[in-house]
Amino acid sequence: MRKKKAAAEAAAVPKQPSLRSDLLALLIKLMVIAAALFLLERFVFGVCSVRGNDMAPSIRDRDLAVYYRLDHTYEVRDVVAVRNRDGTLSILRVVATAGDRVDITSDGLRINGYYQQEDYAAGETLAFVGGAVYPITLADGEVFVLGDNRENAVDSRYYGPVRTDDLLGKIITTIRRRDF
Amino acid sequence: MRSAGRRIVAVIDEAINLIVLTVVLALFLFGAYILWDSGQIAKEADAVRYAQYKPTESEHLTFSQLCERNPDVFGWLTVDDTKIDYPVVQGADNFEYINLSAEREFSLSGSIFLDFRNSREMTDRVSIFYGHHMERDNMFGCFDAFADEDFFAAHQTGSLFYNGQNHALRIFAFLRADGYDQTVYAPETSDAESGAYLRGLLELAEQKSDALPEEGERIVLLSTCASSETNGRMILAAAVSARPEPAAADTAAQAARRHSLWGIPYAVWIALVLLVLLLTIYWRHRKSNAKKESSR
Repeated sequence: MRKKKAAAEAAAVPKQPSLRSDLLALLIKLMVIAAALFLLERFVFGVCSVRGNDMAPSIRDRDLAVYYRLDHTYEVRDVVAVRNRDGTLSILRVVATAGDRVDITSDGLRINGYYQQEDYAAGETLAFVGGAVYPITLADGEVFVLGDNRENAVDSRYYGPVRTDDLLGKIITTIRRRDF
Repeated sequence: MRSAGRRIVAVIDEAINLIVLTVVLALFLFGAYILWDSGQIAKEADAVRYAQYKPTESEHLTFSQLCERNPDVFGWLTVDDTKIDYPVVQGADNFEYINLSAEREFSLSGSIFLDFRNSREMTDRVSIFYGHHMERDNMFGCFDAFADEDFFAAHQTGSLFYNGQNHALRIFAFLRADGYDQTVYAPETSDAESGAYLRGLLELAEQKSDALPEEGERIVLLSTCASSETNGRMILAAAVSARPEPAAADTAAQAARRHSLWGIPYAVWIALVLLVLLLTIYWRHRKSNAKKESSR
């Protein structure tokens, strides 16, 4: 860019550019950078500061989470950013996808008739009183999401299956700077 | 001479360039780390890494070295013309070798391991091997391809080395099942139940050959995850022949080592000796020439 400018100057009458044109160029550059960052954040990646310990110990309160917005093929074990009705974000894990039959009994989580061994889950998986009614067969475009911190998380046991349209993306990186 | 205002703008402009460059560089470095990291994981899982240990016609020594290093190693699994060519282990439970290599080092890719309930002598009706479903066809990463009829038809042979002898494997079915399905994952199937068990497998089969296991033949399942379905598993079912057969031919790594000294192939040694010889001759020639020159 600078080279081009220099070439243009050499070709034209050698005239000193004004302060105003320099400022304008700077402003345009800043705007282009800001626009690029905005578009990247809006459409490709999302960044959020996690609130709450739904996913502890994997992800904790105030971890910085980066999610990828463009991959919408959700599979079991994926950790996703869920848009709540009140506009806030929850980070939770997909435990069942379309077509799966989800049941939660006093013995824990049961999917397609089999109790699950989950190495990532902490605590007992029990149903919320007054929450979702089991068994649930997930329709197309639905997933069942649970927090790893099973005894404290607010998740699909509370509000039922989530539509994939309400998933903002898959978590690809988390950055933690306290409580390791 | 530029005005003070223009100079300030130029400094700010430079600063912004620097910041953008720093951020892009940082992201680039992070990206490079990610690529390096996945490359490392794939390398750990690559069959090439274990080729030096493979028990072959002329060499059982390296395999026994591996067994000595890790007594849980008891055999070798090969599916012809795929990347499946690994030592097999058996742990105290079915979790031990999920993230442990056959050399007993931590490794995300783990090992190919036999169900802890099975016998290492392969005397059970049904023996089950598990392996990770990995990228680049490592471990049991190539199983997806068996869903294709032509691929399945072209890849039905393999071998299983155990008890110090090689045994032929004949793959007869490719199927999908739920990982919790006890009717498929039944390593304790008895002789009496084996007929019903086989029928159950074939019901689930997506691909099957005509060469079904005969009466008395033992069944080996090779199982890996299919991440697209909840608890989905992909399974290759094979019949293992009771009669031993000759061991595999030497791997390239073993052949290379046998034709080498201290890890350097003989050809390189010969080339080196020749080079030193040539240099000596050349040097002496020059020296004698120089003497002649000076004596003149």
